[in-house]
Order: sequence, then structure tokens, then C-alpha cells
Amino acid sequence: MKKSTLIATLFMAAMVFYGSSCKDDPKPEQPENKGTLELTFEFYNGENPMLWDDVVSIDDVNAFKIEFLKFYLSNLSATRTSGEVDKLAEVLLANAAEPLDGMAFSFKLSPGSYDKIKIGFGLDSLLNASDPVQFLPEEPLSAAQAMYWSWATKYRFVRMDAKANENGPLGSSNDILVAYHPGADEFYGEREFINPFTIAKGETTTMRIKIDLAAVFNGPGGIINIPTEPQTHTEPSDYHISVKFIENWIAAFSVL
Amino acid sequence: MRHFAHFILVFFGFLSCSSPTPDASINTSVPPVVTPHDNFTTPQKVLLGRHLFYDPVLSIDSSISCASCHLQEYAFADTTGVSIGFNHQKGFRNTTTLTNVGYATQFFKEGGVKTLERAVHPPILTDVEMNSNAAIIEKRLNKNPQYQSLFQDAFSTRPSYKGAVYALAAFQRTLFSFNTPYDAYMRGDSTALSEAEKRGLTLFKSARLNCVSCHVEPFFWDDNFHNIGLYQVYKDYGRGRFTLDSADYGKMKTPTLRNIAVTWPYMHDGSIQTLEEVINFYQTGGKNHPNKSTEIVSFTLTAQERLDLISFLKALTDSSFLTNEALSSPF
Repeated sequence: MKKSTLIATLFMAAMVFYGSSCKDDPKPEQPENKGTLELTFEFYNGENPMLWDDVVSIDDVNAFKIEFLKFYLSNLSATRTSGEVDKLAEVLLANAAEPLDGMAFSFKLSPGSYDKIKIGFGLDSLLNASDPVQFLPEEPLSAAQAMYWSWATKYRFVRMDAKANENGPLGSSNDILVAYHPGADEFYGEREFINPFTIAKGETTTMRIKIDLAAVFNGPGGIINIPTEPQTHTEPSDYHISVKFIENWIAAFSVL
Repeated sequence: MRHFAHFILVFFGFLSCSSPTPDASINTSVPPVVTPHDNFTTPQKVLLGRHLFYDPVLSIDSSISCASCHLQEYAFADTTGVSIGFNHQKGFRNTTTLTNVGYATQFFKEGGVKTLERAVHPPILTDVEMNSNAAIIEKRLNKNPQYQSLFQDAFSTRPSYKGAVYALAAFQRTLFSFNTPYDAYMRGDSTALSEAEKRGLTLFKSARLNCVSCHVEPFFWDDNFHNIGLYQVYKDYGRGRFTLDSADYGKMKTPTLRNIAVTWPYMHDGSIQTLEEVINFYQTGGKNHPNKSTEIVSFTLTAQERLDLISFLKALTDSSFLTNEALSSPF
């Protein structure tokens, strides 16, 4: 076969394939035909609701107050009763300081019954390798979010900065500076939250997710003794604290 | 045919702006710098990067610039053990020279960064250095008419953090330093090195000292990591900080020896002040550490050999690099 004939044949085949694949593509559902799933994250200290920056007593410390808290959620999806999986978001950055925008997220979903949602905590290795300059400042993976670990070209999965005082109130020279910054590919974890819900056209269904602060310091990963383990930056000297923190962190979320 | 000629012109024009090369008159065997496909070097980017390098606008309180710690007269290194950053905070490592940094493929002592573009972030974002933020930088640069113009020339866009990062990388890719007495000697000028310097070069390459096992010509680095036995217990995990592998604890990226005479103090923490003391340290073979490189073994030197070796190391100084106006502050 002549080269020109071969090229022409391949071109025609490609066009036929392209044309037929277009015909078979389902039309995307219009946004106005969808409903909304709203995920809200709410802080608790054990069974007690709290605001993110309330002063609370936790395990070994009399007073504990979060001053900065951001964390990544990724690869979120919802599973229909039929088993079909709808992607919700690739990556979200929660920011406790912004209860309206930073701790509540809305997703458009097709009407129907759903059984569960899946949430990835932190960033999978692909997302964790992202280049922050490729994102606009307001996007989750931008360097402007103060979550990028530039020296290691990866991201903090959680950034919790706080103050604590072991015996007395906050505000004295005995205050402990707390900084839990876990972040490593191996820390990424996914959880399924089985909680059947229905999405109706044009309506909003809310799913409330609890974050138990007490469980962050006393969970399946072990107890984090705040006075003796006040900081981790996922370096060799404090890696074990990051491991405990992230295991507890992922387990501290539950559906209300 | 006309289109073909146009293609050739564009192609070679593209090549000429994409791969910075040392001054042609230097005529060394040094290859062009490899640039990433999305950040080809252009004179406009270099000019913008040069402005940003010397402008404290990048730091959170506009108090320090890249040049505050990377001083040209010291081969873009600092003279303090560890540099002082935002709010007079001390870092924990000695500032690395930027000599020929465009050729590096791993950055910082632990090598956690693989591109020059990404190596620009840490000094800007780290709280003990500039403590800055991408959004703040963008806002500031967009208010500055000069930067609006420089960004327009370089990227045909408004100022952006990404553009700033890319321009800083482009400028640093022009920090060539291959114009030393050693380079002249290697090009065939037998008078470029004194007799003492020549003896020092021979010693440097000798199996007895084995300096070249890590400080490989022509860059005098190996782009790798070694534990030299500086301490029995390291406060700084070095490469291990990034890999979290205990076998990497205390391993630091090999620094270049080019311009070494002006980049004191030495070692990753700036703990050794003079070249004489550095040689004394290596003579001992270093302290015992499970990760210590097998290349580090004790040796003896006569007083004359010590002087010769130091003479040679000083012959790695590129005076033109330290004073090159094209690399100096544009302000």
C-alpha cells in the first residue's frame, strides 16, 4: 500500500471512530435538573459541640485553643443505591476560620437515592506532587494557601496551629506552642461514610460531618501527649507524632 | 521556500533564547543549561528576575531580598554561619552559593526539590526567611508600574506569582562562573596557574586525597549526597529529612568548590570558618558515623602541600563573576 493511501485510510478510520463515539456519548445532565448535596463539617470536643477556636480542655491540657486549621479532602465521591459512583470533587481545602465557605461544601448531584460518600483525607501522591504555581491563588493547591511545603515539594495534609496550657488558662509564659503539620504520600487515607440520602431536583440535602477534637489526640493511632508532643513537621525526629496524628485525624470524622 | 526560511529563523531564534550558555569567550567544555519546556530563558525574563532578586518586595515586610543572603561579591553566598531572615530570625543552614546553580538537578541540602523553579519557593515562603505569601506578592507587584511593564515584556501578562518564580529561575540560570585561573589553565594557558596552584591541582586529583570523588570537574560537585563525618550526632538530618530514611541521616548535597575562597564559613551549618580548618577536618578522616562516606579517610599533608592545596582552591575564584554588572542590582 502506498504511503499516501495508508495515511488517507487511517484518517478516514479515525474520523469514523470519532463520529461514532460522539453519537454514543450521553448528553450531560443540565445543572437545573440536579439537586445539591451540602457537606458541613462541625467541631466537637467529645460529645460537646464547639466552635473551632473555643478554648477547651483536652486530655493532658487544661486549655487548648486552635488558632489556625486548614486541611485537605480529596477524591470525594457519592455512591448511588444502584452502585454507580458520582465524583464530587478532586480536591478541597477546608479552612476552620471560614465556617461558611471553608467548612461547608456543595455539590450538584443527579436526583436519586445514594448509599454513601467517600472522602480522601490529605492528598494522593499525584495531587501531592502538584506544582503550586499552576493554580490561581484562591485554588486549594496554590502556594497562597500556606499549605505547600516548598523544601520538600509536597503539601501539609493538615495544618493545625494552636496554643495550650497544661495547668492554667491561656495567656501566660507557660503556654505551649502547638503545631501539627502531617504530610506525606503514605498518610493519604480514604474512608466511606455509609449514610443513605436522597437528592431531589432543585433541593439541597445536608450531610453533617463531625470532627471530634478529643479523638484527634486520643484515637486508634494512640494518645498524643500535647505537653511532650506539641509539634510535628513530618521530619525524622517527629515523624511518629505525624503518624499518630493522621491516623487519629482520619478516624475523628463521623456522620452526625 | 519562504515559509521554510521563516521556520529556520524562528527555530534558531528559539534555540538561542532557550538555553543559556556561558560567555562564548570562555570557551569551556561546559554544556548549555537545560531549561524546562515551559520556562525558556529570554532576556526579558532574566531582566525581570534580576529586579526581583534584588528587590525586598518579595518578603512579607519588604525588609529582605534574595540578595540579602546571596551576595554577589561572595559568589551569591552569605558570610554568616546561618543567614538572618524575617524578623531577625535565624535559619538553620549556611546559605549555599548560587554559582552555576542552573546546572543543578537537586536543590538544598536534602535535595527535596528537583527544579530551579520549585527551588525559588522555599526562601520566599519559609517563615524564618521571607515569610511571604503568593497572593500578597501578586498584589504588590500589580500595584507597581515598573513590574507591570517588566511582566508585560517577559510574559505578556500582568504580574503573577508564577511569573515571578519563573523569572527568578531564569535569572539564576545566568549565574555562570567558569572564568577562573583554573579554567584558563584547562583551556591551555599554562601560565594561568602558579606552580603552587598546579601542585595543588595535582594533589586535589590525587588518589591520596580523593577530593574529586565528590567534587567532580568541571562543576566541582557531584549533585549527590554524602555524610562526611562532620558530627557523630547530627542535629540536621540532611538528606534524611526528605527521605525519612535513617541511612540518609547526615548526608548533605555536595557543594561546588568554585568560588570556595569567598564563600566562607563552610559546611552545611557554617561551623568551619577557614579553608585551612576545612582541610584540617578532612585530614582527620571525620568523626565516626554509621552513614559516613567510605570516601572520607584520613590523610597526611606536609606544610607545603597544605599551602599548595589552598592555593589551588583559591584559583577556583572567578573575579569577573563577583563583579559582573549584568548580575548586579539594577536599582
